[in-house]
Amino acid sequence: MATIQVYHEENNRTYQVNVVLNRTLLSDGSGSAEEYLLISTTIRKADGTAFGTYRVKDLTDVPPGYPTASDFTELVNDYIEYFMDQAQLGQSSSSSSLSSSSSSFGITSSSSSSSSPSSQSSPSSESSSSTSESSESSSSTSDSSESSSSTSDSSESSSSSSSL
Amino acid sequence: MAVTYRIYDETQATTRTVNVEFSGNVLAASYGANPYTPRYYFNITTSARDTSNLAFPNIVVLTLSDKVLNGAKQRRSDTAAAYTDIHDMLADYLYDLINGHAADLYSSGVAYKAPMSF
Repeated sequence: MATIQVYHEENNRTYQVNVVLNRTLLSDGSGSAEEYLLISTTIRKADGTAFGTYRVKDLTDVPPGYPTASDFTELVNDYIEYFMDQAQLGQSSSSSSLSSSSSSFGITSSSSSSSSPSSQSSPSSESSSSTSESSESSSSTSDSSESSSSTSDSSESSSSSSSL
Repeated sequence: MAVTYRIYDETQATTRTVNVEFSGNVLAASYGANPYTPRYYFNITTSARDTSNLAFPNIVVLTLSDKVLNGAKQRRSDTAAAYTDIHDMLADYLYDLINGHAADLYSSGVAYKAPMSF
């Protein structure tokens, strides 16, 4: 999970953009498990409503109006820019503007498997669904029956040959 | 949130796991090209070992054009095209981890890689 902190210095608030890798069946998919990213944020639109959760299967799944990304760095940065633009975080009475967003907003990035969303309200019900989806992903592999075999994951160590 | 793949070997009745995480960090290896700039990427790791009892290095995938064979070719077929989506990319990387590959497979210039040990 990649968590990007967006600091808005004018209201002294920190928002999060979360990017989570999932693996599940998809309602519009082929019937087999597929991997995809879910991108959500605690940033609110200018009208106060929450952003939805965006599903990314490939580099064409960019924010509305954006061209295909060349890599996942550009794709995530496009979403960050889109959220900030839609929220009009850069529009204020001060002289700062979006063009100087790199200095106006402290965008830092970290990755953590244990990070939780900020205490601010989640973007939408879609976001909460993504949480449940991601929890499913950890056990969604069809190999579960195989895991009942005599060897556990820990057998991957050099001692694995000693198991059955 | 990582996705964990379990790989079962019928002959040995053993299971190995591979973890895939989507992360954002400054990558030391690309410091010169992108100083201080966080990169977002898939990080593929496993504690499994190959048939020579060597650990597999961590794999970083930045884009769907990062093909597993030396960046030049996909593993499952002789194609230089980019992966169609995340699922296609991860399937190819997992296939290569499990099966390894011959040297210069598909004239990709890649070095020999041993398969996963079960």
